[in-house]
Amino acid sequence: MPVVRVAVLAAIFAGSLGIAAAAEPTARDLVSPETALLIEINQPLQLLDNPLGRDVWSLLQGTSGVQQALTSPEADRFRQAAKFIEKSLGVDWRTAIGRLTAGGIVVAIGPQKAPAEPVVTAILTAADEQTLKQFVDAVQAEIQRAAKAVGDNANGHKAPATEADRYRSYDCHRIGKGHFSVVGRQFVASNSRAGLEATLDRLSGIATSKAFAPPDSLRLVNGAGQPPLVLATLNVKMVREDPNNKAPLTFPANDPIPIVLLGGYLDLFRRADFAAAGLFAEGPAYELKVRVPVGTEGAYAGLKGYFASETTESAPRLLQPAGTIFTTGWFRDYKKLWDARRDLFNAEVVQKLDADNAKAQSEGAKIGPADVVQWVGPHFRFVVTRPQAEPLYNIKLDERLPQFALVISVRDEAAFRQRVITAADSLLWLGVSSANLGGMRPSEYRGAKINTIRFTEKPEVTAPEKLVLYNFEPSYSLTRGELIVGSTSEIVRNLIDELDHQASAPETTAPRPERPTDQQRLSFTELSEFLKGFQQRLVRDAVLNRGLAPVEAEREVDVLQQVLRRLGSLAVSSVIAADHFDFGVLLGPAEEEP
Amino acid sequence: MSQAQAALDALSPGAAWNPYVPDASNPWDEVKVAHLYRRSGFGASWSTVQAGVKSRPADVVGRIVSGPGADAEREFEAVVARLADGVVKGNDALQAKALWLYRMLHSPHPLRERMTLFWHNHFATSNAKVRSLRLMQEQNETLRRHALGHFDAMLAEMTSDPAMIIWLDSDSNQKNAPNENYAREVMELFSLGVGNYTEKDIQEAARALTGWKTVASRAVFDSAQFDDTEKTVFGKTGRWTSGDVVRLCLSHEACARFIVRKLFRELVSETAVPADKFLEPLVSGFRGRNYDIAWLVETIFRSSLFYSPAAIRQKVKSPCDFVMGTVVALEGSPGLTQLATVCDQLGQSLFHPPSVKGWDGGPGWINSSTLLKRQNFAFEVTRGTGPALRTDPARLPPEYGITGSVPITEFFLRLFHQQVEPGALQSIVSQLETERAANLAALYGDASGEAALARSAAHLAMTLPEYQLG
Repeated sequence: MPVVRVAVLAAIFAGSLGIAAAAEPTARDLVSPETALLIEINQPLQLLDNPLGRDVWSLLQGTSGVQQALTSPEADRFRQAAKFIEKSLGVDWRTAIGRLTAGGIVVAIGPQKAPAEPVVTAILTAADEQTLKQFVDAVQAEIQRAAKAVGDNANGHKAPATEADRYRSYDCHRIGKGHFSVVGRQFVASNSRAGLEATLDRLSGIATSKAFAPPDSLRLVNGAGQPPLVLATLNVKMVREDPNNKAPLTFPANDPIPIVLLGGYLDLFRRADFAAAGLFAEGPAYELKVRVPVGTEGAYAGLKGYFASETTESAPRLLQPAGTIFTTGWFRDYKKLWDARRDLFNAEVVQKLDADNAKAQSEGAKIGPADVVQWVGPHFRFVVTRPQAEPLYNIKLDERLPQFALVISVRDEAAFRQRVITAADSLLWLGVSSANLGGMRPSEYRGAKINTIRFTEKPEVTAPEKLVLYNFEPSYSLTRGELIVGSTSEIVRNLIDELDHQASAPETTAPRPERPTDQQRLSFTELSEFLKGFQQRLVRDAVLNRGLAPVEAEREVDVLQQVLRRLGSLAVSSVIAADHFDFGVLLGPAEEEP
Repeated sequence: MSQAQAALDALSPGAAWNPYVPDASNPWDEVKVAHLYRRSGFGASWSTVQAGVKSRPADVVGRIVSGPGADAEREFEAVVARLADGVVKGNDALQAKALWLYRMLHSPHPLRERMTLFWHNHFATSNAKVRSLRLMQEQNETLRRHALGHFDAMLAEMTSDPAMIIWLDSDSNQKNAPNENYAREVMELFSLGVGNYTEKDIQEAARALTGWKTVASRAVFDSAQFDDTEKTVFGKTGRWTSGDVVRLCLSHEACARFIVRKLFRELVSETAVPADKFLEPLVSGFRGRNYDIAWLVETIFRSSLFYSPAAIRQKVKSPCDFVMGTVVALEGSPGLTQLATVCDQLGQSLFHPPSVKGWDGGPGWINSSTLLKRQNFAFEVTRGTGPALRTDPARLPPEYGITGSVPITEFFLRLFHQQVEPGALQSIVSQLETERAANLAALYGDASGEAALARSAAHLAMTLPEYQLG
């Protein structure tokens, strides 16, 4: 019976496909161990299909900039490519891309061995063999047509050289500097013949060396166990072995600055063999996770305790007074760093540090680095907020700059006040008065003394670079175990309120074993509010710098603000745990409208 | 003798300044309409030229000179004022130039902008010395206000213009130490020309001009520094003031001729030099009408001479003409600060003329460096991307229903040159066909292949040497 016959044939065909699929190695298995950077794009279309991406794109499409860009030659080329793909496969370009990349795209970049370019090999896995063959045949036909056209016209353009041969049992092709082969539903391409052959060797099972094999912990997944949309794995060991990169990663160090600024991070890369970064689409947000599979265990002795870890405190809670655009907090124990200076730096550097310290302790205010690190705690915070509603001075400013403040924890408030604040009060009073800049204005707020520098108002000043001064009334206060230094007295007062608020409302989340050492948060919503004060400038710039009509420019500025509000915020945190380092970035609508 | 000079010499003053009347042998066509728009503004789009051809010459000139009406100008000025406020407060020199280019591109009265630029070059004042965008902007507004008004009022106002006071050192012209700078330039460059005054006239006029200074960016007359004694200027004696110096200059018989000759070079021809007698009808009319600039300009635009070979394509395009004319023709709207930078590179930095004599103009605009930069601009502006993102020649052929390499090439040749020279057409079309054959885009039968073709055709048409002439 024909129906039965068809069903049997279909079952056999399906079975054979299954066998083929089972025999096919994954693209990752084909990657050489000599890979410096591996990029795996698991779901190319989903990169764009995130709700946040769709919303932002939809807003941006209303802007003349994007509309113009969509009619540019570059966009034309993209449309041509899309049309070509549609024509080749007979479906719309999204479906076509989905089929062509159903199994993902893997790009492996080899080490740089100057003067040669690094070997780059890409493996694309399509949904099925037929789709891939159809597409590759169309590309080859098109290239031959173009080459013929160029040759016929002999107008000086050079057509890319093409040739075909076989390597083992595989058909190989070359177009210009590119080499490729199609094997089943996998398309293998490389910028070097050797790169292609090495991949084909692995495909045929002939290769003897192991594949690129980072630890399993670097196969990043999200909370639901799903792999990222894009995963990049860096062979840190290979990068580290480059002679150019050795000096900054050497301990004891010859230069104290990189150690003070990046010590813990340098140490991670000194010990890690691999690092991975994964991009996830989490609901309406994008999340980037970076993991380095070494942590505080085995850290260089002098650096233990410098960054937050399971055995130290965490980075401080972020301060978020009203109108916060950007807030960050970080943990760095400079006292531990100072105490461990003999482990961290070479003898010559240590000798110089000690001499400088001794000199500072015997002159002027008699305060040396050793004293400062005793008084200053390990918690640092920096906050940027929108400017306060009322102008600071009688001089009117069309555009107001944001307020900002640095908050530093102090271990010994009394000593710090006696040795530093008292001296600072006197020096500032003298300096400000003698330079005829203005005067000092002390005030009290909730038991804290705030010292403020008020600049003298000069109505004849009109130069914009001089008017900037009237955005500031530098203020500082030592209170609640913190030194607050702000650009205005208002932000200092707001931070005192915020410190009191945090003290009375402890964190609700349970303490984690993994303690962040750095945290940042940028609020696009507040940034959007702040930019309202720059509306006229943004419109003017759009008209004069980009040629928009004033009405168009106003619409674009409005769209910019909508996009910022839609983006919500960007949150970043760094954690150094016992066995790994994690860095996370979350972009998405995670806050309410102000 | 140049062809333009021969054409000029072949005309009598009467015939030259009589209104142009089209006839079969001298028709009103694209060449003449485009020429009128180039001289009276910064060029015209394809549709404007086509509409102009369908109108009567007198009507087109009338519309150009009278402008769109006070309401439209007021509305435009309100938009500009909002932009200017921030530019001045921000002391942004590049944006100040861009703002003027914005006016050139979008003003409802392009002739006013063209004449403002002319007077900026006449009363050439540079912010390099003034160092105040606010004062430069105010002077620019004064020039604009009088651009088509009466020269006597403009000269009087420029004499006490704060930027001019700083530029020509009037603030150091005091009764015990006269500074002759402004007195010399008002005669030599602003009203009479060399040979029509003596050194003694300058010295005496300088004393009459004493007392002006700037206080808090305002022109102030300080009577304590004014020399109140008698002076003799042009043989006339009195206790002259600055206003009297202006009046004496204006009543000098050389004044009207000096301005008419300068405007002839600006609006008619750089290559043909007319005799005084030839200009006399304009000179006497200008003087008799109290230096009415609009009358003078309109008379020139209506004249037979203006549409003769003595005038058409007889100027080298200034950087502003070249850049803005291209953008207007291509109906683009690119970033104006970038265009201002291009004008700077081509030698015309607005608000920064090289000296009190202004820009020399003419062949001086072109040298091996600026010609290369002009060609680079032509390439950039026709790419449909980069700095001139909002100026894409590819938009025009579909808009005017033109397809195919020959029609598209003809279109751009007519847009930029108002004529299709067979050799140029053949050469450009051949190049385009080569490009099309090598272009993958052409395979798919949509507009993209034509877009690339249009960009190339526009670029190639702009590279013809004639495109440097206005």
